[in-house]
Amino acid sequence: MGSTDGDGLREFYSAHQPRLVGVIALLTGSRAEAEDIVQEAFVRLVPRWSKVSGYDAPDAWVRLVAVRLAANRHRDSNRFARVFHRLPREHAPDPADGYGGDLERALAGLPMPARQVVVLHYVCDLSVAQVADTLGIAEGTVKSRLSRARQMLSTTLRSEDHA
Amino acid sequence: MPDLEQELQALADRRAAESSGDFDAVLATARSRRQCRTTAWSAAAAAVVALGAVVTLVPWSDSGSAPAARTEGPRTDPRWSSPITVTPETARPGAVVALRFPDDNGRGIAFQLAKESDPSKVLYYLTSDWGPGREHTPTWWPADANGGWVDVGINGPGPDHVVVPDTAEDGVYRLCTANAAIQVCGLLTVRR
Repeated sequence: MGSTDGDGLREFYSAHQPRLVGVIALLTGSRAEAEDIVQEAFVRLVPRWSKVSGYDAPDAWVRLVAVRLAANRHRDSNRFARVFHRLPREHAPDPADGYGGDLERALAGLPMPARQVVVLHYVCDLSVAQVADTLGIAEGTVKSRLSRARQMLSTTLRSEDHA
Repeated sequence: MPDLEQELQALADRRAAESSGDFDAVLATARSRRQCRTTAWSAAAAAVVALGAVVTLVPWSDSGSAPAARTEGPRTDPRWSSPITVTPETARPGAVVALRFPDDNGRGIAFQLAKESDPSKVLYYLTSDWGPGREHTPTWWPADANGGWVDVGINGPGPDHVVVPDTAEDGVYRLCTANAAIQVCGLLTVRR
């Protein structure tokens, strides 16, 4: 990689890494894990930078990689948890991670596919069609997942208000 | 839900503000992986050269109990040496076909399609539905068009599903993994 390419990639990293960590942290429930995943996504970007930098939205490429890495890690950890029954199936919030807000807890209670559509739609400002394209699913599936997710979030937040 | 959107955005902003990144570590990791890959390829190439030398230098002995290897006929047919089973074996453009693999097969989501008569010339790239239990839409594009795939490791027997390119001409194609450590292939006949 030439120095110009390297400089461009460094600028791209500085501009997009923090926000991407913020987005992925909403999927994983852990900022530390999100940093790890985003770091891996950028490592995968390095050898492809000359090609990806020519795309209309290179940040969408890294985001997609990071979203899929988060989903894979979630699936693998669930599989591991099912093998070793003593471990909790869902992510256990780490208080040291500042993971205490009602909304974050409610979000963590959603299944990963629902969390993905919520985060991509509401946080990354992607349209339903763009979310469908990003995740490789039908628009109708995105709409139904969004609807179910809103319902579940609202129910969880209401019950926590009463508790 | 404007409130939900604002609250989620605020959460993401908070996490973003707390994050710390290390660009030099990204570059270092990428470089070391590249070196590992180069080393692995060099080792594999050396092993192939060494094996070739042994085969060339050691005269074939027919006195042992093992049956003599066949060097012609069906061994040149990928159906005998390659483990992808394509179902159905004959499909129309636009149809989805299922690919099954040996249990221990490791692969990605990318496949390539070439005419069986000229297997070195890749005509199409395909991405699968990522295997059982996933919800991805299989895609395809001509080999000379821009396209790409995400590096995802998939293991097990499948079935992975791919779609037959709309523009594929009728004929027999060799369908192979495009980004697996060990390339495996199967045969697909396209017929309208």
